[in-house]
Amino acid sequence: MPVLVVNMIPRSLSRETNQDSEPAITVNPANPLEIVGTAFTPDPMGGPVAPIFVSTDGGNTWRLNSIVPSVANTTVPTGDICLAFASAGGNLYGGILGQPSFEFETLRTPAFSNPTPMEVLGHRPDNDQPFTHAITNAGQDHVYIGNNDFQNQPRTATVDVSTNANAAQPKFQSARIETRQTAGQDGPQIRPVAHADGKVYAAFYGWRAQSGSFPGNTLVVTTDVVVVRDDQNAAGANLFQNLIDPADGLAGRIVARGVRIPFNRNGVAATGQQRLGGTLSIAVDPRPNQSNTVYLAWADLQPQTGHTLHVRRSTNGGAVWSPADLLTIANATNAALAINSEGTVGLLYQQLTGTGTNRRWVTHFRRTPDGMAWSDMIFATTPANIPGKLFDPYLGDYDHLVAVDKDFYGIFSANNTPNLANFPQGVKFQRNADFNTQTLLALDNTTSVPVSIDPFFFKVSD
Amino acid sequence: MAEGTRSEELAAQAKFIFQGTVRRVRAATMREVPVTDNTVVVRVDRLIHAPEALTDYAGQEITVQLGAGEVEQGQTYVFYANGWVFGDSLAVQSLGHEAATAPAVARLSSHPDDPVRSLASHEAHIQATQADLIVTGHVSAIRLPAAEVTARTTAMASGQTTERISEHAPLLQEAVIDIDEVIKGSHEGKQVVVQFPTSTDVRWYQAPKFHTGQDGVFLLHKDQRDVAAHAALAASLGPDEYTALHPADVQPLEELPRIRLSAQARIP
Repeated sequence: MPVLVVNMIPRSLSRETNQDSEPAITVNPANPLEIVGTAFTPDPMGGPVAPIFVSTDGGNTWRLNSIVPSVANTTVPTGDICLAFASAGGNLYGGILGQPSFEFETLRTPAFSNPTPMEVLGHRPDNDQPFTHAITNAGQDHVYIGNNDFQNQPRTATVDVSTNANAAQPKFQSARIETRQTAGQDGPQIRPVAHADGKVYAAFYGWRAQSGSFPGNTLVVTTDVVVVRDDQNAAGANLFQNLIDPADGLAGRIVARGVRIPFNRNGVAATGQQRLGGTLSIAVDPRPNQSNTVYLAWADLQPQTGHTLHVRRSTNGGAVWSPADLLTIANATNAALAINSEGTVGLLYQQLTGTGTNRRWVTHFRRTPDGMAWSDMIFATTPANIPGKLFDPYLGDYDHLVAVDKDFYGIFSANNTPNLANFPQGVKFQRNADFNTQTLLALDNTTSVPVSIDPFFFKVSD
Repeated sequence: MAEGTRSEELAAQAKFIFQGTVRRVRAATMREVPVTDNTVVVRVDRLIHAPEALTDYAGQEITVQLGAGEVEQGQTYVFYANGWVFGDSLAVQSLGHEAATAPAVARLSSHPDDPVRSLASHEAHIQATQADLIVTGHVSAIRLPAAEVTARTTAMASGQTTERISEHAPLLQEAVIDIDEVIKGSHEGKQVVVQFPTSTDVRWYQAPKFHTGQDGVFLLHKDQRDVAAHAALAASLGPDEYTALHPADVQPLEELPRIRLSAQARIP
């Protein structure tokens, strides 16, 4: 089973020390050699466009191409960013919190490796954590961007939908997917996924009550974990109404009711410098006639195991879920699910192990053919206290996993010390590094460079 | 247009300014960059303004996509550039170039041996030209804005929030600055209030954080739309209150002579 792990920082930026956290990835299904990654990576020169990571050789080498619209002289060139290729035609779409105002912007480009900045299709203020999924059906690019829309308080969970995103003037509409009373808002994680047969799912945290203080870093939210479904590409009226909860008759199946999550303003030593606030991922089996098989991962707060991941499955379109966890992971976050063309499920997550200065972030990739037997592969095990945090989030409020054909492609952020013991599956660095002395090196291959957080790409082929 | 004025305008937009010699025309240092009539390979002879991550490019060959104007192979120019492609090599987009005369280079080099400090000084210059009020003084108090106190109390009591809970929330506080001297603008009274984000979120972490006893030169703004969502702050900004969101908006007192000059300059 070939495994490729690559530090994505290119050689020309060997001196960089950014905190390249919160990564996301997309692979062009029409040409899987073409891959785009994103992270909180500034334009290295602080110019008026933000960069994306680009590979045109299947992830073996990466470069930065600055094409995300921004403005010069900002302190951060772009906020949350998540891009997605359509499954045909090569169009790249995305949702970002763009500068200078952190407005939610919808982006598109037909040529991701060209220097032309991405086209801004639309924008609006008061939003959070856009998360993009795209699929092509009958020549039409369908784009689904989960987002937390504060313009719709108190029911903020939203999916922006276009079923003609490759048109010259595509139309997007905002589907409001929360049907219940909230504690003033929903959580920021709204995760859409679509099947080629027209079923579209989205998962979100429906916030019901809160205690403690966000500014005081003690906020705990009581929340439902909710899944909604639309059976017609989310193309008609009354979107995402096809999955009804039997308890209250409202759209949106409650998979876990009244669970508690922390919602940190900042990470601390005990959390491995990572702020915690739940994590959510949903994947649908892409095979024909398998669109009713859905896997869901979420986190809640458990007395003994802290921020704990749960994985469950539905085989009837989300109506009924496995009564117990298929997998439970203690002290973990950044769950990312994907299902490949053979129905194998992949799960990426980052687990905090150890205590005190021995805490480590361990990045796992697990697979199962049936939801029962899970293999386990560790891509990185790195100190959780080094480097010191520059900002929140330390590793990101998410990482990302996708599947194209039989292959899994993922991205995570981690301490970049060039120490092979930290990367049990091996690792390839593009930036200059001496693995013998475990030292990062500048462009001159002599001057040492401090350790920082870098994005890492991986590919696992069957 | 006067040469100095054009240089100032280019310098205001460019983050990577260097003196370089054109080695090859219609060429590139990396295969990912399409070669056109406007791509040339330039040896970086001297960095003038550069961010920290790119300070070891002196002596390196890079690709330059030319802006307006032509170049001759073998000639040396000052290039005003921003980033483009960062791969095995580096490609930049030039906004413009000019002959590399000694006066041109000297005019741009506030710290001739330190391109990072020169860039920082230039950013401070831009902030100073755009500031509404520049004062020297020291921070005498840090406090919560009244609106923030009310919102937090309401949320704690009700278990619900009428304002958003977002990881990107600024979590505002107010710094009260006792003014020693007004350098630019006008201000009644001996104190001025600056609202600042205490959040360490990616959105706000580079915005200056104030603390009691801090002294310096404070470059204060009424409208920092170009730095951050003005709406996030403006709603609670009183008539005599300001923001200072750019990292260059707080300068050490030893920078005062330079700031004083910048304060008198026009906006580039």
